[in-house]
Amino acid sequence: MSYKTRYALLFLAVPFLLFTLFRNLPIVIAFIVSLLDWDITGKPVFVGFRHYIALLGDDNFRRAFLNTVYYVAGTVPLSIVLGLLFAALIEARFIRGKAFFRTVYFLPVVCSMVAIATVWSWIYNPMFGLLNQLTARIGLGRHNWVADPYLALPCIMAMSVWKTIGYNMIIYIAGLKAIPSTYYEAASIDGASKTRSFLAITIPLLRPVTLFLVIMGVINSFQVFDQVFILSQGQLQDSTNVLVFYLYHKGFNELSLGYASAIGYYIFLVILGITLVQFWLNRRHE
Amino acid sequence: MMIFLPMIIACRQRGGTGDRPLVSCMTFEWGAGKDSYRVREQFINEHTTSAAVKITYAPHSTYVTKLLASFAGNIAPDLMFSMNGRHRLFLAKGIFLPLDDFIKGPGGIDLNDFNATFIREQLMRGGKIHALPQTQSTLALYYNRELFRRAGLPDLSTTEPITWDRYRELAQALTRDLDGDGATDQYGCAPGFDSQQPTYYFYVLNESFGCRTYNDDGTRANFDSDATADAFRFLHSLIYEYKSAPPPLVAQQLGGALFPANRLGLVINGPWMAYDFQQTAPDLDYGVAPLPYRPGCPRRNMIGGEAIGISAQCRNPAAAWEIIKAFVSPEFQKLPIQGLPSRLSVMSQPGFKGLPHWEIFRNEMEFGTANFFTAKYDQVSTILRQYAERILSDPGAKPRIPALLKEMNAKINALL
Amino acid sequence: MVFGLIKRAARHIPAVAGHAVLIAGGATMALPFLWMLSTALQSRAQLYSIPPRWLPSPPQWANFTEVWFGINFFRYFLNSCFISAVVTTLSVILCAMAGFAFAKYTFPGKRPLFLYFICTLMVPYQVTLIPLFLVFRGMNLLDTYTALILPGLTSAFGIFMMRQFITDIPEDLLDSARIDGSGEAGLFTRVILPNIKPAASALAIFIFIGIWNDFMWPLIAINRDELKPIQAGLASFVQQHAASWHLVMAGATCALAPVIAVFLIFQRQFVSGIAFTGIKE
Repeated sequence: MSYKTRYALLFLAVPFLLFTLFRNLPIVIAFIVSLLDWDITGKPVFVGFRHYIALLGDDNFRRAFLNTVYYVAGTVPLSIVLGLLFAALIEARFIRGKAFFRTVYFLPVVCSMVAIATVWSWIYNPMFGLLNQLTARIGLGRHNWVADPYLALPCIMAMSVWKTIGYNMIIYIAGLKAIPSTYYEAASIDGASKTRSFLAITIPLLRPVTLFLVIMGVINSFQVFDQVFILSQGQLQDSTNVLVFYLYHKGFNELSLGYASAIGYYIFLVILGITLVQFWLNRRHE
Repeated sequence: MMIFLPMIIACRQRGGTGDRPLVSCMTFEWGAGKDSYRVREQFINEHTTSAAVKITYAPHSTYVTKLLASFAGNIAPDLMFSMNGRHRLFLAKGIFLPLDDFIKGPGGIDLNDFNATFIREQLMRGGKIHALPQTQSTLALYYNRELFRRAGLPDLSTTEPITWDRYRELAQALTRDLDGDGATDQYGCAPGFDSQQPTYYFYVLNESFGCRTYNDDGTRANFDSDATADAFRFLHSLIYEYKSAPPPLVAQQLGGALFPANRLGLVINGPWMAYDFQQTAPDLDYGVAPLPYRPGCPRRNMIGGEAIGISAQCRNPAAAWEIIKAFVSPEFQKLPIQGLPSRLSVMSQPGFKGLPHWEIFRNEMEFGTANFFTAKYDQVSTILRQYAERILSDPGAKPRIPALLKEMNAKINALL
Repeated sequence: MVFGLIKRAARHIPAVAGHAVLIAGGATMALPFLWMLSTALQSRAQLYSIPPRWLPSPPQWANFTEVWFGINFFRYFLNSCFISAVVTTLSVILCAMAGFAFAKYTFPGKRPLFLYFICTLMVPYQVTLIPLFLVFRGMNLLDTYTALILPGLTSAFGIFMMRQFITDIPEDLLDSARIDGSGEAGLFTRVILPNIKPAASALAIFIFIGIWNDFMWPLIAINRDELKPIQAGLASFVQQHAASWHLVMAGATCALAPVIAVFLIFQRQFVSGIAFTGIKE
């Protein structure tokens, strides 16, 4: 082993140890636990893939999956489109106070989901909340918001979009800055309008950025939990049941550790699938 | 500086108990309960010479998980509290030591001073007692006297219960749209199934409508009975026909704010709520009445309470037993805590001053049952809650109630 | 002349409309924060008054005192400061070390080892919670500060980010330091660390915010009230005192204030770090 190799491995030793203990080993343990019937206090019983099979017939799991897909489809495109819109606006030549707007739009991104969801649950409060005061005043009437089975998930989605717009915006701003201005100059010499050059130059050139945001957005939204936990007050409800929440409910409310771990592995499979699609799309693009 | 402060504080908090063995104890907090436990800790440490106690808290909603997880994680405290609905679960998980040797031993206590039904049905396993009741509780009807006055309604009797039909009429009379915008601002009654009212409120309603939740050997649930369907129809019509109660999800979001804010007329709750009002809303004008009944059906209520037991992982059970004795001692039981005293003799002493309205709760005990508090209480409750959401959040669900209940009962039976 | 005026005014339409959209959006972004502050300063009676009040009068500063000392947020706050500070410092150093090894050395098994770290990004955090609990139980470290610190030291994203930045450091810099007699460890402290300051500070802010905002793991790993970080403290407080919205909002304000402050102070590093994640990919 060369002198340099030894140093490289030395630098990696502590991170390797920490990762093994607290990240990689738990991933393996989770798989083993998913093959067991175990309530944490009793003796584990090996049941093979029975949990995985049982989940396919579990209507709560199906509900959680559909709700999660609904959530992802509702949040990711909207927050990306709005992120691009605000990024393009802020970067437009005629806008003053760019730094101020950037800061304001980005502020929700750094905030903890727990605190933010707490604030929003007060805003959504069916009787005393801010939102009902606003909608009543402008003639849209009062609604039950998160307490309405049909509005609950859209309410959580709206809050999540509000929280992630800033992130998408910042990434798009960086992407916009990376586009050489000569492209636009050439377009304007050719007589292209602003809108046209935005559609014909900006959006195609931002394609890799958009792809990245879509993938990250989908992966993150698939793991939505904190906001659901706070807004449904930790209770399993049909209307807000999502995959990770169902995992939490099975694992930590009912202590069915094996069943919960099997849910986790299904989530993992979905995310793995999305990542592979990303690789494939990237390769095709190149 | 910021980095070291917590360590300094942590070190400082260690000391202070002298030579006495320090017993750790875990309990749950509900509402203003935390302050009550601070008072309890102080009282016990002042009155016990042989041991001292340090109490930690977990929120009521995550307590079961927390307790079982810390037991599984080998970090269980020496003493653990057990709560309404979960006694049988904790006993089944084997987290408590049997207490019989301590009870009968030289430093023992007289069990005849405690509610025999509570101990027999909830705290015994394999013929042995695993925990002692520290409080007793049952449910009663709280009503907002301020709103009763505004609606021109007379106070309710403290001895004669009203019927559920009368309850519905009162709820209707108490419902108001205060600012004329077409939305209800003041509800007559709460529907249950919200964060303030765990599922056992429904079990009690169901029992008082004439359903026996389980058959005698606990192998079959009876939620597909006509009585249960009637109970759900009753709640459904309160919400949609009479518009006197919010749907459960709405009630959940509103939390316990409505009643103390004079926006809710009637609510069924336990004695701990009287404690909570004492602490957080001392000016609130409310009364307590016996739980309503259904003519032709026996009056029903629940038997519950907090119990305290020694962890199977406890290293010094003798010291822990001293603390249990302090918790159930007559001196301690005289304190106004979040339930009724578990010692019957304390309540019959002249001049006993417990929580406000404690006599009504004591009288309700007579109708109590604990048969729905099985070891699978939480799983059954999750299913019950889900179907309640499907029935009570949907204005058009009323005709489908029997079918939904049949489906629900099958799921629950599959669990048992 | 009139035509000219209209034409001049028309030139300003995009600017006016653009500002209007941005201001409306900005107001939507800011409103929840303002509503939180407004509620935090109201009294219990004001919360439920009809018609509702938009501004507290007079502001109830005592709400903050009650949350801060009465409900122990002060303690939760200190815990979070302590944990975040330790994790941030150690984690940045560890990520930089690993990133250095991956960027500037060749050794057998380099690519699989890198994947070994990176693959953890794809597994949902919640999947590993139960096993993590079991691992800490095995080490007898549950309900300690250590349990809150150790898992935070494993940032696959941090290693990835550091590797990218260190790759950009010219090889010549390292070689000339080697010629000057520096050992490999010396290279790390004298060449690498000074050169990655901007990236390292961006990563530090990410990690700080991530740890400050973490809530699931403390919820499970910690029993003792005096060890709870602020998010777990807030979450359990919310569950217990759902009726006292003024206190809950005061608590939320306390939980948000430090990250907002850190963000406002280090905004530039933060934004450049975030932009990096999107562009380098």
